[in-house]
Amino acid sequence: MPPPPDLLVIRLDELQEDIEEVQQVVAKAETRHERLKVLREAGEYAAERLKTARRQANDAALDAEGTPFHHAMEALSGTLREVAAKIRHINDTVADIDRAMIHLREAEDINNRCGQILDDIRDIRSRVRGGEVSYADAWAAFDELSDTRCRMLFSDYVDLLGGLTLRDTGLDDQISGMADDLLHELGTELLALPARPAEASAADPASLGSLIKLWFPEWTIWGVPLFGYDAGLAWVSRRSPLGAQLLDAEPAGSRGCLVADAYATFALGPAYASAAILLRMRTPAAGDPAVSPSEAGRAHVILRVLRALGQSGTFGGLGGLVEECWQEAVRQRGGVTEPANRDALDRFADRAVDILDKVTTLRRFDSQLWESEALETLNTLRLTEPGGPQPATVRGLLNGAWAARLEKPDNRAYVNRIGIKAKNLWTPHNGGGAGEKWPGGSIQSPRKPSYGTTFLARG
Amino acid sequence: MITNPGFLTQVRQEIAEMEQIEAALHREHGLGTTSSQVRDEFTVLLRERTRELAELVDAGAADWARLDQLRAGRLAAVKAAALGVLEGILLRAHPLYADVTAAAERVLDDLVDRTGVRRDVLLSVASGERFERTVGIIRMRFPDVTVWGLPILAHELGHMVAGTLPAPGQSSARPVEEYVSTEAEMEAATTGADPTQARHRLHELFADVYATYALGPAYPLAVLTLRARPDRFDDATPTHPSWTRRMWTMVEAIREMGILAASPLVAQAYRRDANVLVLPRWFAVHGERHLDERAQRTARRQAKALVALLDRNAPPRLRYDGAIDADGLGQRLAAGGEEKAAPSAVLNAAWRWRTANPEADPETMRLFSEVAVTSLRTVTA
Repeated sequence: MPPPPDLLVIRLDELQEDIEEVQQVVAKAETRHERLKVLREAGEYAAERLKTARRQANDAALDAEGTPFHHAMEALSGTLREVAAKIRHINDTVADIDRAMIHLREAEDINNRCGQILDDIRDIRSRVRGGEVSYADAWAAFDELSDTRCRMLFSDYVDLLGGLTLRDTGLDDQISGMADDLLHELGTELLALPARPAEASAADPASLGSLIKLWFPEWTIWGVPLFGYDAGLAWVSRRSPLGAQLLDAEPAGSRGCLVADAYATFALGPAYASAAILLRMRTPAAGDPAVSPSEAGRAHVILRVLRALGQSGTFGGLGGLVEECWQEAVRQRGGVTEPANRDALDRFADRAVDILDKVTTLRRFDSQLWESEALETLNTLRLTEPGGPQPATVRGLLNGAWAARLEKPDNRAYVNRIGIKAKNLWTPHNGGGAGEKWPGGSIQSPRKPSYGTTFLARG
Repeated sequence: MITNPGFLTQVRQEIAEMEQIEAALHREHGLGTTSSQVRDEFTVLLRERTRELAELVDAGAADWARLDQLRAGRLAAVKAAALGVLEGILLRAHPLYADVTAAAERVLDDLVDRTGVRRDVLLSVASGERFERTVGIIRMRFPDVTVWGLPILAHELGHMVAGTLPAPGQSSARPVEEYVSTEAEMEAATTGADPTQARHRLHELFADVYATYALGPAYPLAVLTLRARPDRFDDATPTHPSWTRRMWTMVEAIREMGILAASPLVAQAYRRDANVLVLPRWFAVHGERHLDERAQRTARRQAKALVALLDRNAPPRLRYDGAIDADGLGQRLAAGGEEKAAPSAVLNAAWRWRTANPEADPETMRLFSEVAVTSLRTVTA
């Protein structure tokens, strides 16, 4: 009687197949540019040939003047003109898709992860067969591989494909493109990718390399400033002397979160403070378990850095509104706004501003930059008629938009209108694929959890 | 005709002096931006005094008592005013004071223009800031040549505004005076205060609120830092309310300006000016001093009423614009660059910078002040 099938081997084979499938699909994802290229070239060829055909049809119509064919040739010219218009429309659409489509520099990252997992699968299989490990230990190793690393990989894989599809088809409302431009302004080569909400996405986003997840449902202009946090993590990961100094200054247990908050606030001003505190931070309640850094601590650092950037005028007014809103919400939940380690946080925030001021590639978004980059947008958004001048920077646009929103925060129709109008003021610069537009040495991907995962899930 | 030659000589001497003052003022081209209206008022005043002296001569008897009365009550004030004007003119020509005098004139011209009163003021110096009603002279403090004391001139101008600001469409109405009188009567009736003293104190409060309304936090910051007396926080004088009452009235005035603001952002900016800038500075410098509940309510009510008076009767541009980025302007001034900005913006930039940099050494403060004064001097009001 043959021995029963070895279930562990069946599972290992299945897992191997899954991983190989991921590799294939990721490789195929990159071929979408090739397919698009075929389409683009066919469209260009058709347009060129059509031009010749129209010229010939026109000549023939002239030659046929006064003959019975003249009317038929004129009708042919008209039909060719309509076809040319359709071809032009097709080519424009292909060009739009091409612009929205990013090159997947992360294919290599994911392939490497797949390769490592495949090596581990083969290793377990051969060691079981060779009797080097017991079945019990092999099952434990399999479980570890399946439940953690593979699960994370599959999660990222789904996010990646879904996100790419959303970007490619423009269903993300081009918010990813705006986020890309913001990240570019901040001097990073990171790109935004629409992804599942935080509750469902427990994977380590670092595995997506230079892609940062843009959580659903925050595919709106309001969530875009949150990418400043990821840019901060990326900056720290470069291991520059200034970045190291700032990490050293961070209170113990903060894991780079406070550095990223300080960086994002410094670089984006009130827009980051508004998005982070008003949209994402969980208001501390009485008796919340102690975590480090606490939400109160993070809010404290963000608000202190913001105050250091300016307290007067509408810039200070916006910061003040965010602060009041946060304090009131914390009070309503019975929590305390004053973090236990306030002095340490104050020292850190002050030091962060000093250090970030020395980063030559980074400009503080202070009240002066607010005046030059955001104020005009704010005034444009206050007007009811659509349109207006395109802002010089995404950060200026985001700040102007948040300021306009907080002028009537309770009016949903107004907030929606502001969001739509602000988004329409911006034309993404992402021509020909981000990877092509911004070549150069890739910075290391964020080593810390990216923005979303560092916050407690809602609910 | 008077037969006493001594009396006649002295009266004629007084008349000659009045004529001399008139001639001096008309000859003097250094009256700066002073309008012909002020010169004319001065001329009318001098001629009125001359007429009064001439009446003494015409009376026939040597009325020494009346002459003494005229000298003390009528002539001395005019002479002092004339002397003040001439001092101011001389000072304006002095290299050390030329800049700050020109800057002060810009500040006052800007305020007069924004207040919408058809009356300029004369500027001179004294040992302390004050307003002299005779011909409308504002004295700035000698020998201060820095930007720091300039906001206090707005308080002195406020005394003039109280007596000249009309109501819309009623050029002869004086709503501030009416309010002060009514409120002083009520205060006297309810607290037992002397009505005249109550009236004087309310005038001071109006001048404080006017300066705060027109210059924003720059005024309370300047006055609490440079003039408030730690040993007299809670003591009112016959003419002035206690510093604690004055400061709380100013804080409440800024809060009230926030309530009037159309945009929540600007409203928040005013609130921050009151709660995060002025109040902590006041507490830091002089300790946490509060009024009792009743006095606090009174301060709030009076600040609200005084701000409403200005809101109703003065052009909207008189109100300090809370949207101004004074911090950014302060940074640029600190970097040494002259700025073309409104006088109220420069004064706020200066005081915000000084408040944020309490440890700045005297040389840094002097350099900052120099740039600010130069910016004020060159800016078109």
